[in-house]
Amino acid sequence: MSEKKHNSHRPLSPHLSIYRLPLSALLSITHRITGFALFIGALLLAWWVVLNAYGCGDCINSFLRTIPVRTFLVLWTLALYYHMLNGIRHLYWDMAKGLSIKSVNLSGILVVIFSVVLTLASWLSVFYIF
Amino acid sequence: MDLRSPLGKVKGLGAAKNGAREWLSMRIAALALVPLTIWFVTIVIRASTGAETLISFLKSPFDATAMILFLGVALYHGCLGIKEIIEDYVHCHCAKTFLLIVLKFFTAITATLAVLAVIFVHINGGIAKKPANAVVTQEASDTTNEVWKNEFFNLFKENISE
Repeated sequence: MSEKKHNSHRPLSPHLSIYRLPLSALLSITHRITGFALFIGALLLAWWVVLNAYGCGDCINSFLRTIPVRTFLVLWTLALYYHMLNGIRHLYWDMAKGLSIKSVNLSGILVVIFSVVLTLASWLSVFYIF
Repeated sequence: MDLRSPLGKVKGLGAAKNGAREWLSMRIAALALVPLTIWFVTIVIRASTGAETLISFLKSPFDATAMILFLGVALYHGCLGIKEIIEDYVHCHCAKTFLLIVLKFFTAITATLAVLAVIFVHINGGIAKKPANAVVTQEASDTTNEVWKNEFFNLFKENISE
């Protein structure tokens, strides 16, 4: 049996380098990647609070207003909203609901759209209202 | 709550050998993070852009509580998530154990420091940078608040003399 397995040239599936990931798989790995990025961001946030509390916050706060850092903050917010909305989707699945292919695809598209909309709304509200 | 079957428990099944409790803890933390995240984005984005400073909003008991809960629950949830990632991708037992210990120590230290910092800012207003032109009298020099009062008083005096 094991010999047969070695000699056969059956395709390995899914072969990640050439396989086009379906939307659900793409969103799934994005959930993990954003989760990792958010954890790094949460650590940085904690250290930002610590530095602000103990008197050396000013050196970082001016740095936070530069364009590259601001871009990272916007992307981090996008990751945060994406992870939150996709997390709600996961919690919904954990109740064994919304698991048909049609509703999985629909909720996936909704998560992407709403994370972009909420990110834009949050940052635009900062710049135009406050 | 233990959701594991007795056989699975005895055999230590799964890559992590245990984890039903962690699975559930992670989801409960996720549930708590939904409202906390919404609070976080609406408040902290403003602080990071300078429209509202971190120190001024941490003086409110509501915001200080939310900040401690957000940092604590986010780091807890994140620590469980990174643990899952390490268990999935790091196969060498030695490196895996080492990374898991580093992760837990670093997360615990960061969370404790951050909670301490929030409490410190909430009670004391944090250590503000000493104003360069403030005339600090002997009695006033011992607390940060007094330094700031002095600074405002000097500004007031300068405006009057002009």
